[in-house]
Amino acid sequence: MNTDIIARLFCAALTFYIPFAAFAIPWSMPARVMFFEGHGGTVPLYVLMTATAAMILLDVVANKMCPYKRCRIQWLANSRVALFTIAAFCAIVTPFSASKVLGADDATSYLYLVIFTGSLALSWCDAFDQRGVNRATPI
Amino acid sequence: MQRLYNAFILILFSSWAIAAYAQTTEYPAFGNELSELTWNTWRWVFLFCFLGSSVRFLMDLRAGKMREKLVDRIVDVLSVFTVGFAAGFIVFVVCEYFNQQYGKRVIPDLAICGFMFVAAINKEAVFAYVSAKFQAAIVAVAKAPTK
Repeated sequence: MNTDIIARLFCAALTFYIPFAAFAIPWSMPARVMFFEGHGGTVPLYVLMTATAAMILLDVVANKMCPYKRCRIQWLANSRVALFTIAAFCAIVTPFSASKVLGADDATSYLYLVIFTGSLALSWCDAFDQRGVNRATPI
Repeated sequence: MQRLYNAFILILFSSWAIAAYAQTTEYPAFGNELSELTWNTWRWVFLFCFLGSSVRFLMDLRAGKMREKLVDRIVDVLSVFTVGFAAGFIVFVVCEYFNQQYGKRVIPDLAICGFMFVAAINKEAVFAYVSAKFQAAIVAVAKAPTK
């Protein structure tokens, strides 16, 4: 178990929190956005976020935690950067919609900024790790 | 040089759009919806532009398109982010303008965000795909039998 796994699991949990709040917490911002934006524009977003969170979780379990080689899912490992980028993208769609009608305040926006920044940072870390530019100085 | 030239052109267009938006605070040239948008919305627009630009930066970096010398690297990064921000901003203004003109939200927010993201990535392949679709549609209309 290393910090990378913890960070990815946190990212998956926070990404899943937004669709969860939309359907389970009626007074939350995602639920109110779903109310005034309509299901056609928001349900695809929340389905995409749930699928992204599930794939991040599957990637951690299959490619990091499972000790057997036949558990590895290579295409999931290859699309890891895209997964975190999609998570970062989806995180700021909801406050973008809310800001036009509800006026998302700084306290509410903070959570979404954290999800956006964390997901994007994970994406960058993975991309740099694959290319190796952060290993320029030999240890 | 080509990228710098594109950045210069897009800076011109974006400065025009910013000036047009500034005028809407007193003269609602874009209609009510755009003129009522506040900084609360614009900052999320800038975040989408930042996301798209950083993805483009990563794509260029992994493809080995970023030059190595410090000044060249700074110029490349600045041009990527300038073009991305300008393109995303223009796409947002155009989409909101369409929504305002139709009187109802025909373009949902998720689609606007996607358009902004794609425009900020500003990848030639994306535009080539879209323009090929348009080209095919135009050819299909031109080849359609006339009465």
